[in-house]
Amino acid sequence: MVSGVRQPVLDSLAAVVLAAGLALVLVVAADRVEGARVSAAESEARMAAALWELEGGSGAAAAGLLGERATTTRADAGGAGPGPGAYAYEAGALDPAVWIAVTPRPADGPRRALPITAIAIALAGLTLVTGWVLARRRGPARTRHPVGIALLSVGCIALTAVAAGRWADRELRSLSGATAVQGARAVEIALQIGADLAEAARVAQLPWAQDQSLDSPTEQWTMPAAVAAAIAASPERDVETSAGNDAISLDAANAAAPTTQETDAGAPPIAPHTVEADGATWHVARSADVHVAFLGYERTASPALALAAAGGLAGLLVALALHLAQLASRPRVLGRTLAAWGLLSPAAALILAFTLGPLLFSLWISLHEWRLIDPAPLFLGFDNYAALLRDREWWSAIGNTALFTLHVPAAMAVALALALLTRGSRRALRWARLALFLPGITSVAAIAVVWKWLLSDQYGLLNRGLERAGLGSVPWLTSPDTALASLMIIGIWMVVGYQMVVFQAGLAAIPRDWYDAARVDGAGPWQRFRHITLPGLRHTLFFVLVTSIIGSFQVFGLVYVMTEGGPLGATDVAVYHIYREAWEFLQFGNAAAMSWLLFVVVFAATWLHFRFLDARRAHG
Amino acid sequence: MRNGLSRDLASAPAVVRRSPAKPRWAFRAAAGSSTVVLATLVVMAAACSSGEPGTTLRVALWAGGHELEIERQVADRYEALHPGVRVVLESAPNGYEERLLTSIAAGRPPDVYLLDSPDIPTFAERGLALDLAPYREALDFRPDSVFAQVADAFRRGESMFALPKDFTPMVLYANRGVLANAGVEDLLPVSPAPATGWTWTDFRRAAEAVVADTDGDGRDDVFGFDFPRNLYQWIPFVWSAGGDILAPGGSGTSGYLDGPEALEAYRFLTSLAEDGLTPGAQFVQQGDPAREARFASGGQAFLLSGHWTLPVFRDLVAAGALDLAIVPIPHHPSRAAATGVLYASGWAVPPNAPNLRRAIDLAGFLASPEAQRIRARSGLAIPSRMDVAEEIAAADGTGVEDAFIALVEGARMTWGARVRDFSRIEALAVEIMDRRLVRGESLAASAADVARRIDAEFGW
Repeated sequence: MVSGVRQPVLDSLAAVVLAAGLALVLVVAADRVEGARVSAAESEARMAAALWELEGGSGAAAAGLLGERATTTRADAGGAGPGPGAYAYEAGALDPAVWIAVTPRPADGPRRALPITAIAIALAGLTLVTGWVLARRRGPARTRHPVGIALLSVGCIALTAVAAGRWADRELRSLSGATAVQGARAVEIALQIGADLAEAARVAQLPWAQDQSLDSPTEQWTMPAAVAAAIAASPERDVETSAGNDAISLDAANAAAPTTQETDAGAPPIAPHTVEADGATWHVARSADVHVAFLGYERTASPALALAAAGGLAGLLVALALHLAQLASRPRVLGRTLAAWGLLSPAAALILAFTLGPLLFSLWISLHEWRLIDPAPLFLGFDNYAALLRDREWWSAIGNTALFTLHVPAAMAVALALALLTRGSRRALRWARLALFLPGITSVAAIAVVWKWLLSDQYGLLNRGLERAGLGSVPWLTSPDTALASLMIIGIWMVVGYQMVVFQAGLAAIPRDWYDAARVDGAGPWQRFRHITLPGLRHTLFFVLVTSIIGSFQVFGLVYVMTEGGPLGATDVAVYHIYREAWEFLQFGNAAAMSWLLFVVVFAATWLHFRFLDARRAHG
Repeated sequence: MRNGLSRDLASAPAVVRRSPAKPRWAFRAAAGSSTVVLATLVVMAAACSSGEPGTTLRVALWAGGHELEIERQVADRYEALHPGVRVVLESAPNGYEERLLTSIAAGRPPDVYLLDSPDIPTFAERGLALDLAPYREALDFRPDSVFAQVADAFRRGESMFALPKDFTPMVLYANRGVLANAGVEDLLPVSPAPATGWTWTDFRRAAEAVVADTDGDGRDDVFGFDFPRNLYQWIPFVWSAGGDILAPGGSGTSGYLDGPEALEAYRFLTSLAEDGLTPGAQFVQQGDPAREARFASGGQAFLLSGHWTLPVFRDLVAAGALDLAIVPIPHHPSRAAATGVLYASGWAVPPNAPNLRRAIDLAGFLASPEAQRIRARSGLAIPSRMDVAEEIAAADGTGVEDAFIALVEGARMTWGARVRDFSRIEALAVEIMDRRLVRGESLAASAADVARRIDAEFGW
């Protein structure tokens, strides 16, 4: 049981949760930066391995690139360690010869190693909340302001997340520039040990282009044409030495590879610069005739999404802890609340992980341009949604979906008639119900294939029958005028069995007395149907209508197998359109935006139905 | 190693889409439900074995049914040559692109994967395919041992982004029996190549001659052809009229897709459908699902397809039930010869494969003459190596393989191997003739409209 002593415990819990939340935010940012450092070290290790192979295994060139940060061990004497590194191979060998381990590049001083501003904000917020906890322990709880404290805590988490994000972004940019510089250095060393230009460029292990190729970007391959064009147009293109626009990165790179200066005595340091291309910032460094272009870690390893998730989770937990603290004075309520949360938590965790999480992710994706194999989505804001508003094909698909949905009332009418006709326990009626229900439990793909053959212009059973009857054949699936109607007919055939069963359950719930009384009063079959059956089935009808409309908005299988949205888009429905956009054209951002618009349409339709029902209830 | 390599090698965001209609699905059509079960078992076995010692290499491919069994034989051979190495085939006859892309996005790409020609621009530009050129000597791979167009498809400058597996040209299968019944067998070209003197006029005359209502029900049941609705099917007709669908650099469709030569090709093909020389058009990627059966049973004189259809007919030919000829795409009467189209696939290695050298070695073996000889048993495609292809052709008593090889010369690789997002162009271009056949619109107007929309979408 919960007792009064839990008040200070729960107050302290709020402070502890806040501390944990703030720590989580800081750890997320720091971990992402550390991850990028490891990735950068892996890149450098691959460059070193390539140099090692190019040089024939002496290791001097690798040391020239990385200095003391590289450690080379024989692969058969321990091999890969826990840290970043890369295997190097002897010519023609399938098994690696050595493992080149690389110590990640250190941060440039303690201030850059830690998100100082974020830590300061976190400590300030934590101090305030701790003060509140202590004050609550001394005074009556009613004099405090938990809502204000909650807002303060959430605000503190948000500010910490923003500050940590900005710090991470700066760090990642710095690492990106340094990695590009290391690529250029690797090229330089490779040229010095006698590699030709193509071999040297490969050693960089990053997207690259030879300088002369930049003049004809359409011939480029490993570097996207837009990037090559941007480099060609960049004013820094011909500047081999400069103070650099990222002095810290450059300094860090120089400091990390002292021997490079020795191997290239007298040569000026390589300065990275950036170019904007394809909606991203590319870090470029040039050595000899090779430009090394690198898509920065600030894009590929940005912690923005993780910080938003961590911040949101931390805020939620702090709010929950404060809520529990408020309930501490009411032990019974607190006990019930804790029990309820305890019971709900497994299901809540599942929903969070597999429903809410993917939903939020799709919402996030809908704000980006993302093609699945892109290293990082490009933030577009609401551009995808704005483009959809002007997308005629999309609205045509929505229109087709709405038209397809018109089969729902027709199917309900048929299902209701069948429900009335097949009521009873006679064997024949039971078999009839089973036969009618079967399409509802049969695979949509199987149904679609069978119907496709039945409706074939040339060989279809239906057209052969019509021709025999002298009616002429119908282009069921090959004319834009009939294709959607054909799918609607199949849709009706598929759902009437299920709807019939639901209606029969609803009919069984209507008291027989009502029908008997109506008969005594002289009501005929139509009057009994109109005044007893229909009102009695009101809730069932509403349930079937709403679920069937939602289902019909999600129609996919029939279209996918039978018509592929054709002819000429006549059966291109919303979900099929979304599928094509995502998996055929790899426009995942667009597809996610379409999914959310479809959700809005379905939600609005359902809401209107509920409003309509409420109005009817109020009127009744 | 941590999985940072793919991020490092990644390039700028750019348009990437899957190609919807490729001969690949036709390869996959051979796959039945047993394949799914087999593939599932293979994947489960792979999942279960992740903790075993030794080297395990995962290969992603789209083989199904008999083809997968043969690929297993190739993998077994590699395992026998390399004790301690286990090769797991992760085959997805359906949804290959989805699985491959998802595995890459999840940071767990296969060690070796099959790269289809239309995917080359996407995968190579994004750094998802290792440049295998530096390993040519180690793998004993000489580009000049491979059919030139096939090698070029995977090559960019000095780089080589996949080792060619096999390929096929699009050809016309001719049912000599049907043509002989109509008395027009002599219209067929004497030899498949050079493809001169086999014009659209000849083709149309032959197609017209065979159309018949054999059962007297008032409906024709023998046809000349079936309507080639998809771009991958009809592009050789445009080329064989002297036109193209894209500007020479592959950066613009206006003046090409709606150019006079292309319009000639559209007119010729739609007239076949409008004049009843084909059964009704099917407005889906797969086209008419009955086309192969109709052709084999004498209901159709010509079938446009690739090498992948050949195994379907082999038994019938051997049993004497089908008198088959392989003939080139006909050319415009004003042109000297036809230009066919080629589709190829190759073995690629992701740069972040955990056992990179082993993966490269496996890719080399999968493309080796030994593997190609084993694979040739499936008969689905032409081996990419010329010596192996010639061996297979020499062993083939029907002359069909020789006919296929003869048609390679003068054929071009698909534009998809060069132009990124080609699937989008294919998806839009299919409208041109659909609009004519469905709504009776002018071909010139719809071609101009489609070209304008493609150029606008691609920023050309």
